[in-house]
Amino acid sequence: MENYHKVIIISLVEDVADWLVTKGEGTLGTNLFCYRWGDGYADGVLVTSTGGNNPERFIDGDVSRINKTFINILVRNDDMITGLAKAEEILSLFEKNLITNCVSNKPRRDEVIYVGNENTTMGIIHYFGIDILVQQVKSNT
Amino acid sequence: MADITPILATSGSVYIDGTKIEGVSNVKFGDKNIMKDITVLGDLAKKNYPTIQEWSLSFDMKTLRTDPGQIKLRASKSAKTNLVYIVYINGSMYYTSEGGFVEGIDYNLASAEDISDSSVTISSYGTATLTS
Repeated sequence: MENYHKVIIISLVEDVADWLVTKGEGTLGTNLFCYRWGDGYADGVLVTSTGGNNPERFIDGDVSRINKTFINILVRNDDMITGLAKAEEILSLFEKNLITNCVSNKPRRDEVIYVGNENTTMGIIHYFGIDILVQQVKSNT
Repeated sequence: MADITPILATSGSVYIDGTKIEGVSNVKFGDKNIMKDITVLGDLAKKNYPTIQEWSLSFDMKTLRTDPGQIKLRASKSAKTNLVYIVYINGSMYYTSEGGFVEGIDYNLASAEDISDSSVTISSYGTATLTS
């Protein structure tokens, strides 16, 4: 099955995924994915987006705006404790670091969410969720 | 109702000494006459009469450390320089001031969730001419 990690739908999803790679949270296309899960790894991270808030616009001759995009991260693991630890590690990364060219990338909640589990051919997989509000200045030109 | 074409606020902008200030919002430009009370005994209503003109300008901005317009603004406050301000209502309607001084820049860091804002007040020096 093909992976969608090369498809740019929302550039910020790619930016966040690339940033997580630089922080050692996975390898893009192997155990870190954009938009949909790849095959093979019970232990993985998925970066996607479900829209965002209205952009903040300025009195600037329609030159720029601050985009406010929801970035949603799912962490999966066949071990619940390991998965939770990984999700908490990623949440902390967003709390204490600023992604290059972003104004802010703070999590929207103070804890990770336990999304649930699924019985798969790889065994029972547990899913944890993190929602981030990423703010980034975009030029209208 | 007649057709109208409102002006979007985002098509406006504020310039200081020929440089646009970025990250600006909540612009308030006042173009006014100073009124003199000329009411006399026997009048049954108050009479105010326009004398000299005055303008005022205030706006908020996201604090941008490297924006050339904001750098010029902050430097002007420290150096007390008289600079020309132009306030565009849109691309073809704008006020050009003869000059103005930075009266104050208030930095707002209200909450840990906020992005740093600054509130700016400009004091007029001379006229402001409308082009439309």
